[in-house]
Amino acid sequence: MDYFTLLYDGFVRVMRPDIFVIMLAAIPFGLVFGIVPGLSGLTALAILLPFIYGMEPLAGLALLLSAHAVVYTGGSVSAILLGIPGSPPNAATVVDGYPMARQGKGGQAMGAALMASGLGGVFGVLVLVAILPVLEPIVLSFGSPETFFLALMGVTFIAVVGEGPMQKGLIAGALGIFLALFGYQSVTSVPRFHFDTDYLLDGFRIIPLALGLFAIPELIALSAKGKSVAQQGSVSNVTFRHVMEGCAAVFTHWWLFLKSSTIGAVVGIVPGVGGETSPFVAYAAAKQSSRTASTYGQGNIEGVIAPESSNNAKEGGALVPTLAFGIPGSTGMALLLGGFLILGLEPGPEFLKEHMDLGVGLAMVVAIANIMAAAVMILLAKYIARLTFVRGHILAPLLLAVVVLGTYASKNNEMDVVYVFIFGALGYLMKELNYSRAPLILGFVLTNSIESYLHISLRSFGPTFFLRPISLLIIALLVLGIAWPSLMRLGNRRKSP
Amino acid sequence: MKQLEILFPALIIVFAGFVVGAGAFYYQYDMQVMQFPYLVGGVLIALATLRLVQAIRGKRLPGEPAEPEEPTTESLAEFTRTALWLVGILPAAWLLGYLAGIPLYLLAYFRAHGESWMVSVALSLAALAVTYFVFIVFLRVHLPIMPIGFQ
Amino acid sequence: MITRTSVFAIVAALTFVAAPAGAQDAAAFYKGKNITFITPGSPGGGYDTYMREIIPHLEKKTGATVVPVNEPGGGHLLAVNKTYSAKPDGLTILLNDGEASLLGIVLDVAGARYDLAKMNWISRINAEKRLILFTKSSPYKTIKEAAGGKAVIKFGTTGKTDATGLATTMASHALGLNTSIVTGYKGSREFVRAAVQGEVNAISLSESSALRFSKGGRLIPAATLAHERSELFPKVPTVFEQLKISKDKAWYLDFHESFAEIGRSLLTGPGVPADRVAYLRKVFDEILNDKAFAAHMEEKKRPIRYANAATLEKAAKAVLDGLTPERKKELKGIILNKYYK
Repeated sequence: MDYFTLLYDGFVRVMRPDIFVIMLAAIPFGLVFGIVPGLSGLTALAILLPFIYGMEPLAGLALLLSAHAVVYTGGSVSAILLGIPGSPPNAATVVDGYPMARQGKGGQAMGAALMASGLGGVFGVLVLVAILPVLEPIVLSFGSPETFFLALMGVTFIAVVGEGPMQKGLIAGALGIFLALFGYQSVTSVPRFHFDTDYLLDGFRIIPLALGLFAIPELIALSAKGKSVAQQGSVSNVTFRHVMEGCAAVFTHWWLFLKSSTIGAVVGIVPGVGGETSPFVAYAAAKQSSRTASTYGQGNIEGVIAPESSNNAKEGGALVPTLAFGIPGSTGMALLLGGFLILGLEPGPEFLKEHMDLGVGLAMVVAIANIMAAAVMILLAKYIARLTFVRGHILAPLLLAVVVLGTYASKNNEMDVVYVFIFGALGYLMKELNYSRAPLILGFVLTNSIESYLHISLRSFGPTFFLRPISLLIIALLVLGIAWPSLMRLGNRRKSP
Repeated sequence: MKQLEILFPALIIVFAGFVVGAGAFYYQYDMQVMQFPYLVGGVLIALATLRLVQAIRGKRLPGEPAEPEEPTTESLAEFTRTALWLVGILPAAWLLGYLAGIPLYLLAYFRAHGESWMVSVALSLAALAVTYFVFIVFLRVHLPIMPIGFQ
Repeated sequence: MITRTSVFAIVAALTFVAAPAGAQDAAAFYKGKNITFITPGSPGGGYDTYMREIIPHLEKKTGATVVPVNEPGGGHLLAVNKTYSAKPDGLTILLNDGEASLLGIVLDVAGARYDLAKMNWISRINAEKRLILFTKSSPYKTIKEAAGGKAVIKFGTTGKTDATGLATTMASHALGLNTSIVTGYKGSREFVRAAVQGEVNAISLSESSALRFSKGGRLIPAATLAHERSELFPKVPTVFEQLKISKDKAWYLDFHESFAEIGRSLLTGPGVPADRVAYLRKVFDEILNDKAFAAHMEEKKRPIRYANAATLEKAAKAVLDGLTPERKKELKGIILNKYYK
C-alpha cells in the first residue's frame, strides 16, 4: 500500500459520526482539565481510562487522545490570566503571558497562545505522519547517550528561562535539580533522603510543586488586597479583536513558530527527556536568538508563542516512540499506552506494520482535536477573561478550593495538598525576591533523566560514550547554544563600530 | 526586603547542607547515591553563599529593577493574616471532611471578608454542588467525605 | 478536650456495635459495604487491568461496592503498607506484586512496613515464568556458551530491587555468567529498546513480555528460568535441561522460582476475622475459576493462572523460612553488589 493511500485510509477511518461525538465530549473535558490548576493531562487520562474498557479501539483512543491533546491549550489561559499554570508545562507561558495580561494585553496573549497551541499541535502531527514510514530507524537512533545529552542541553537553558536576574535564576535552577534528587534513585533503588516518610520515598511531586510555586503567591496577592487581577495591573476589557490580533501575531512570527514547534516535536520524539521540558527549551531558544531578548519576561509576545507552540507539538512527537516501540515519550503517553493495552493493542514495530491505518487515524484525531480546541477557546476567550475582574476576596478562596481539590484528585493523597502550601511559601519568597520560578521547574523535570542516562551510558559504552554521530551533533548544538549570545554580541559590534 | 534577601539564600544553604549532611553521615549512602547530591548541593550552596554575601553588602544585581517593586503585602501582620486564612482550608478539610469542610471554609472566608450573606451562601452552595457532582460523582475521586474519625 | 475523647469513644462504640467479632455471617457482612481494592499498578497497566476486570464480578458476588485504588508509590510497597495497616475488617483487599513485596523483606528495603507472614493470602490471579533472552549483539548465542564464558555479558534491568534485577542476579550466580548489569531503565519496554539497539546484550523477561518483544527475531529466547518449560515457549529448554547445575547452585534458581510462583496474588491485612477470609477465598476461587472469565482474560492477553491460598502460603514460606541471617547477607551481596562493579 503506498503512503498516500494509507493517509487517505486513515482519514476515512476517523470520519465517523461516533468518533466525532466522542471528540466533542472529550475536548471540553480536556480543556477544563487544562484551565483548572491542579487538574492536568495526567489526571484527565487517569480518570478517563476506566471508561474505555470495552470500547472499540479507535473510539477509545480517540477519547483519550483528544482530551489529552488539548489540555495544554486550556492551561495556557490560566497561565496568562491568573499567572497560575493550568498544568505544569504551562509554567513557561506565565513568564511573559502574565505580564502581558497585567499590561492590558491579555487578549493578544491568549490569542497568540491559542493559535500557537492549535497550529503547534497540527505541526506535531505533520511531523509524525511524515516520518511514520521510517519511525523505527529514527527512534532507534536515539539511545541512552543521546537522551542524556538532550537532557543536559535542557539544563543549559536554566540560565536563560525566566525573568529577573540571571544569577537568581541559576540558584532557582540548582534548587530545582536538588529537589528532584529526593526519593528513589533509579539506578540503585535507594530512596534518597526519605527521612522515614512514605511520602518522600518517591520524592517530591510535580503538581504540588508547580502549583505551590505559582498559584499560592497569586492567591496571597488576591487575598491580601481583595482586588481583582485586573485592578492589580491596568487591564481593560478583552475584546475579540484583541484575541484576533494575538492570533495574527503567530503568523507574523512564523519563523519562531516553526522553530518552537520543531523543538517540541523533537523533544517529544526522544523518550526519556520528558515532554514537560519542551516549552522551556523552546522559550530559551527563542530568547537566545531574539532581537528583543531584553524585554523577555516583561510581556514579550514571542515568549508566549514559543512555549505554547512547542507544548502542543510535542504531543504529536511523543506519539512516535509510543506507537513505534511502546515506549512512552511523555508521562501522559505512559497512561495512553495503558489505554492501548486495555483495548487489547500492543504498540511496537509489529503493531505499526499491521495497524498503520490506526496510527494515521490517531494522528488525525490529534490534529482535529487541536484545531477544534483552539477554535472553541478563541471564541470563548473574551468571556473567560472576565475572571480577571472578579474581586480578589471571591476569586482567591474559590481558586484555592479548586487547587486543593485538583491536587488531591491527582493522586488521592492528602500530603500533596500539604506540600502545595510548603512549596507555596517557597514560591512566595521567590516571587517577592525576584527569583524566577520557571528554571526551578525546568531543573526539576530534567534531573532524573540526566542521572539515569548518564549512568546507563557510562556502564554500557564506557567513558567514550559520547563518540556517536547524533551525540556529537547534540554536543555541537549545545556548545553553539551557550556561545550564541557572545557570538551575536561580536557580530553586532562588527556591524556598528 | 533586605532582611529577606539575606534570609532566603541563608535558608537554602541550611536546607541543602542539612540534606547532604543527612545523606553523608546519618544514612551513610554509597558514593554512587551521593554523587549528584554532592555535586548539585555543592553548586547550590556555592551560588547561595555568593548571593548571601552580595545581599549582606546590599549589592543590586544586573537585571533587577532599579526601584524595588511594591511588595505584595504591606506589613508582616497583613501577610500573616492572609497566609493564615489561606492555610485555614487544610484544617477545615481535614476536620470536617472535604465535602462539608470546603464549603464551610468558603462561607467563613466570604463572610469574614465583607461579602454579603447572599453572595457567601450562594457561592458556598455552588462549591458544594461542584465538589459533589464533579469530583465525587463524575470524576469518582475518593475524597475523604466524612469528618475525621468517622471515615 | 471533650471533643477528642468523645469522638474516640463514639467510634469505639460504633465499631463494637457494627461488628460483634465473627458472630455475623460473613456473606451478610459484605452486602452493601464498601470494599477498598488496592493495587500497586498504575492506571492502564497489568495490575490495573486485572483489578478492573475483576471488580464487576466481585461486586456481583458480594453485593458490596468495590472502590479501586491505584497506589503505585514506593516501588510497589506503599500499597502493601496501606493494606497491612488498614482496619482489620476484611474490607481492604490488595492485588499484590508478590516479587516486590517479598524482596522488600529479603533486602530490608526502606519503606517496607509489613510482615507478610501475618497477612492472609486469598488466591493467585496470575504468575509468569521468566526467560533469558539474548540480543544480536550478545557475545554468546546460547546459555551453554555463556555459562563460564570469559566475555562480559551486559544485562539490562529496571532496578536493583525488582523482579528483573532478582531474576538476572540469581540466574547469573547459579549459572556462573560473567554478568555486568546496566540498571536504571524506566520500564521493560525501555530496556527492550536498549537491547535492540545493542546497549545491552541480554535481558530477562516474563513469558508474556518475552512473547511480545521477541517477535520479528529481535531478541532470541535462550532459556527458561524454571523447572518446567513455558507454555508460551514450548521449544525453549529450561536452564536445568541445558546445563548440569549443582545442588547448591540450583538453590538460587529455586529461590527465584518460589518468588515467581507468588506472582500477582490477592491478600488482606493481618487480624481479619477467619470467616471473612474464608468467604473472600471462596468468592475469588469462584471468579477466577469461571471458564468464561478465564477465556475473556486470555483474549485480553491477561491470562488467569489460578492458585489457591495454601499454595501461596507454601511458596511464601519457602522464601521467608530459609532466610537465616547469613543467607540474607549473602543474598544481599549477590542481588545488590556482585554484578554492579
